[in-house]
Amino acid sequence: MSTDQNDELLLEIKNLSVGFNGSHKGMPVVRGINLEVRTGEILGIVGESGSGKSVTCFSIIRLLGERGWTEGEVLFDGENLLESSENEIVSVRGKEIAMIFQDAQSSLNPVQSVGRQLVEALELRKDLANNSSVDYKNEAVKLLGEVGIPDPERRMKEFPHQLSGGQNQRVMIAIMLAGNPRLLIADEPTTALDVTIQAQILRLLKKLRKERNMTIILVTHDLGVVAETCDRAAVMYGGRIMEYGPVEEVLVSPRHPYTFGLLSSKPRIDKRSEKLYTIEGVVPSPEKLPKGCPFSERCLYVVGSCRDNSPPLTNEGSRHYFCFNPIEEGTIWTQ
Amino acid sequence: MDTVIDIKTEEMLKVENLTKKFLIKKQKMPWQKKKYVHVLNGINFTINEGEAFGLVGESGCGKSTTAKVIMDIYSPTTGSIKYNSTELTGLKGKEKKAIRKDIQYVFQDPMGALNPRIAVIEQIYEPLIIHYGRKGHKEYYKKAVDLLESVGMKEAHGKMYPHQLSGGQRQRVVLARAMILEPEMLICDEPISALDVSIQAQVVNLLMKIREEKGITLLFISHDLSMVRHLCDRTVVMYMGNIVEFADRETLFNNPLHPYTKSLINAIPIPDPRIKREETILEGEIPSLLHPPSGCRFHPRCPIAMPECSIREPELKILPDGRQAACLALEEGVKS
Amino acid sequence: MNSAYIIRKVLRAILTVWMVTTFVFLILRLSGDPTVSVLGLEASPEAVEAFRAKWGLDKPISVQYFDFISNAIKGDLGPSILEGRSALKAVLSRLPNTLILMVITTSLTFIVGISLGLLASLYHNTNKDRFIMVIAVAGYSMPTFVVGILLVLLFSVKLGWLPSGGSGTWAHFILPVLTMTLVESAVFARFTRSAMLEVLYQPYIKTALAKGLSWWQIVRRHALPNASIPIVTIMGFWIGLIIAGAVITESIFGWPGIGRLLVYSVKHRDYNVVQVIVMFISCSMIFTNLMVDILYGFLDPRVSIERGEE
Repeated sequence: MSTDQNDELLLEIKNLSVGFNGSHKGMPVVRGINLEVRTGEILGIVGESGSGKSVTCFSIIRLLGERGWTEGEVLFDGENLLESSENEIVSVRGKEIAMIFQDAQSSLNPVQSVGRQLVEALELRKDLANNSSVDYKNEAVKLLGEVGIPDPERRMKEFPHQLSGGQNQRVMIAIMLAGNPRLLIADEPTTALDVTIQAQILRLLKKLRKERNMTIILVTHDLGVVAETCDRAAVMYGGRIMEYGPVEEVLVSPRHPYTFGLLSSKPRIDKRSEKLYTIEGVVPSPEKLPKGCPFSERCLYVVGSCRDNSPPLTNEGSRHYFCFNPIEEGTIWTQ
Repeated sequence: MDTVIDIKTEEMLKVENLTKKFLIKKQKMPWQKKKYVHVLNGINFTINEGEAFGLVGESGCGKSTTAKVIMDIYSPTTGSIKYNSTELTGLKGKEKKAIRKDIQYVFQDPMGALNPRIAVIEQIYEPLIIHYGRKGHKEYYKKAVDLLESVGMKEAHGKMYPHQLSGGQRQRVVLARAMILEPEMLICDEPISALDVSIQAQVVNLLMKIREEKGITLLFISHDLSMVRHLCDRTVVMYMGNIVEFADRETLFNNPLHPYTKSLINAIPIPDPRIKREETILEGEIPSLLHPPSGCRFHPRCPIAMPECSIREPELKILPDGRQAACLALEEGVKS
Repeated sequence: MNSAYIIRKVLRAILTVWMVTTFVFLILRLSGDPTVSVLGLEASPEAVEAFRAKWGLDKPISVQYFDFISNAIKGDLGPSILEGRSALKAVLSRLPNTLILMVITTSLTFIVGISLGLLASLYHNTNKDRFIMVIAVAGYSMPTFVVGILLVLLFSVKLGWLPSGGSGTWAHFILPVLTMTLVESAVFARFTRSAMLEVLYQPYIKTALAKGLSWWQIVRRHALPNASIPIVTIMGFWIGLIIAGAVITESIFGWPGIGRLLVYSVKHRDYNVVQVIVMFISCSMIFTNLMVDILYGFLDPRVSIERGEE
């Protein structure tokens, strides 16, 4: 995929396939995807369960461990993270690329105080370790303040079960900020939260991008979250990227029938809708995916070649999609 | 307090002064006190025959507890629930069974609602056996198959077991089972929250089809305001065990008046990057129900809170446009 | 920990000891008395009468019970009918033998069992893991007395390397210790492995990875401390069991400890000695439970927070 010239590439995923050992007979759940992340952007990865969006993110910093296998390249600073040594990947995690998860409370150690887990992350920083005057506790309190935890000094002594879901997610973000990473991967960070708290967390992520020039990959199933937070979006289905480009293009005039279907099947808070568009059928499991386009079995726009051949990449300015029969610009769903 | 907006239609379910408290700490030593958490503080609303009625709010607002009290899963601490003028609380035996037949439920987790070891078709007609005995077994089967087809599935699916179906198909089976007794009212507690976006639309369209065809009354409980807007004629918005606003669809979503409703609607992201709304993000979190704020429970987070709000609890009042809202700032408006 | 919590614990402990002793008191007396085993079958009715009067066995059970309780409160647990001296002294003279055997077995079991379990969990699904688990299953599916007898047959009868019973030299320790350690460390290996595996699959381990900790740092700082919470629970429970288990091992190897004394005293209806041993066993179980509770406070600070909130 071509990039716009001025943007500096931070991460490049090339022909990445990921699968799990054992389940689904080792079938890949991510199948040869290409993706670029540019410095300072918020990239949204959208998809339903089983689309491979979270697995893609886990494999970037190799969190699947021995449970999964990977093929292809994940280039960060020109180095393929999938082939780097154990020591090298450990030094990338937290310091260059950090990650937060959907369920913040279970993602924190239940028997350690918030302060202890935060200080532990700070202690991994080499620049602080060489500076004898540094007060880790003080730094930790500062971080909690930055992510918007009220009364941070008192919270330092508390445990995850004493905090709300939103506060735990803020703590997770603070922990991941401790290493001052360049890229933050946020895997459905607001899915388990109430909408008013979701709005706060999304605002926090935007603030971090602005103040720390941090690059963010935001994984979500909610196109609304993408529209309000992200610069570019990649829509995934069945382990493949369907469509990929600036949010203003992908969400306003989607080319891929799947993106279109997702957009039209959810009612909107600002509009009256009569009947919802439905994507018929069910999300197929990895071993039952069709040979060609993974969406072909459920697609209203399916043509002869869809089922047996993988649709080629079409570039249209800064937007890219894989579809034999794309939707024309300006199509809207009417009952 | 009169809770009816549209008095032209028949009242079906009337909830009055419903309160519910849960014991959270037993008395272990004689000098210790029992502790309760108050989850509902006097809920009033009336659902009219044939309408789709929504109950929305964030976690801990009491929407699910309200549903569970109506469904007789919890008994209310005080208050009354009338169904076609019959008092439901305290009803026992045959009378209860007869009335309960008319009200059916669909929950969030269809896997938990189905027996994993029984073929789904048998589970669909099981309510018929419970209520009418085993006599018409053949007819039951036929009726169950009809229903299975009407929820968009095939007869072959009936022989399967719940784990062989997808989440959306299971929820369809639960819906079919709820419909087999031909209920007058259907209570859905977060029926689509566990489903993927593309499957949610299938189930919601099905719910709308059932409403159209059978004229069934719907109580729809959800945290998803967009879906409630899409589905419900009138909607109650709850916050920390109280109703804060209650209005019909157009009034509520086009012109919300209660500051909580406003911020809640504003917090829902719109999947169109061209739309820029004013950012009115609510600060702070929902306080613990163990230590609810004084006065109006929303005042610590309210962008327009007045000094009085921390002292006096607002009552749910009818405003000139027919909606109900519980807010001192809006009361001022009524007076002037 | 606050006062209400401690008071509740102590009250519960006293109640437990009282209930256990009362139960044993009644059962023993309802199932016969020591007259026959001390005086023999041919004793004259007068001698029997005199014996029963001497030890207060002729009084109604309710009176005997009242006497026992009031003396126990004063600290007098009664005499041993067989040995003539105080029952407490009779038990205390055997206690060191049992304790030394138990301390050695317990420490060995914990060290061997827990390290094998850890090894298996860290090499999950590899041949090391499978090998350890096969041995563990074998060890734990054999009852103590079978292992004990097999070891005696091999090392004492066939090879003649080790004494089959008794005490005195270090060689006497080997077979009893080996018997108990073999079986019990298998239990611990399995339990430790599953506790560790459960923790290693928790989401917070992923967080620890994502923040940049190395695998060994994660094991040391997050996995081990958290897995130790269920392990400590089972340790407390197990120490209680092994005291009961001493009865079997001591009987097989003729070890002169309280386990063998208990069997002997029950057989001969030496009421007070049985009562003292039972009280000792229940007290030691309560004590280990208390230790586990205190350890919990260190391992899981949430526990002390909850107690403090009362």
